[in-house]
Amino acid sequence: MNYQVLINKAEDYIENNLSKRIKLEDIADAVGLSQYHFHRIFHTHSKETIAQFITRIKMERSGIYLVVNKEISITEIAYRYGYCDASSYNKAFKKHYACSPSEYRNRKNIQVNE
Amino acid sequence: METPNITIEEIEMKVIYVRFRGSYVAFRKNATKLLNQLIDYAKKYDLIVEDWTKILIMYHDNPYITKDNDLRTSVAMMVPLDAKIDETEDITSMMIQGKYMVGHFHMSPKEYGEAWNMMYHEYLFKGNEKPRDTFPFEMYITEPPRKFSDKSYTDIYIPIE
Repeated sequence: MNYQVLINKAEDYIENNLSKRIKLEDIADAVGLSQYHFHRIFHTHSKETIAQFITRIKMERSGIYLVVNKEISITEIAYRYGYCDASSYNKAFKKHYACSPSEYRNRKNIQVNE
Repeated sequence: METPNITIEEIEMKVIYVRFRGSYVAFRKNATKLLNQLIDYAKKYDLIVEDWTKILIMYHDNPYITKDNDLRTSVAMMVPLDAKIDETEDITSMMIQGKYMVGHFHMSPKEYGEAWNMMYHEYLFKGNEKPRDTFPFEMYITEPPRKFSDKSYTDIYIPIE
């Protein structure tokens, strides 16, 4: 299996498991490589580490989800994207977007309604 | 634009794909090359079923959220569910499953943007269906025309709960 196929398969695994706390060993298992070997391949052929990629995808996807599903609480969205509580989700969200999930939801609402 | 027929469908589909990373402008420049790569592979392994095989484009990221250089787009082809795929030549396989709202369009290439907007803003957000967090895709029912104003049949699949 070449590196591009491995990266695709890893991305597909992450897409299918966004609600879980995804570990390196789970992805390595899914693509049939050792953790060390997989981590090395991903890092060599991608501009992000696998952890950075997972966080970015979860932030981008949950960002869309919380704007589209306004009736769902931030706590529930945190669980849906594999965070154990709203606090750790808020922290990761603020680091990525420089604002809280609630502020992001309100700001995007304004943009949509303008 | 002609009003599309909208259906709700539960699907289970196996596809082979080549994934592109970069802006949609860069993707469009490379799309023919990627499609040819996929077709060559499918011919080599005898995966094309006449009058059944379809080509898809899968949009993995949202262009309003993801940076241009990080956008991932895949050119894919339906293959039989029992097809054995040798993933050795940059070609990956995956299953696409679940419930979708499908817009059946008869449109020209210049109307694609309007069709996508219509699917989300007129049919999904104003309807009773809830969006599901996975990628949407286009399926080409007839070959897209070479002329920008000529029409072909294209289905747009939006994942729903």
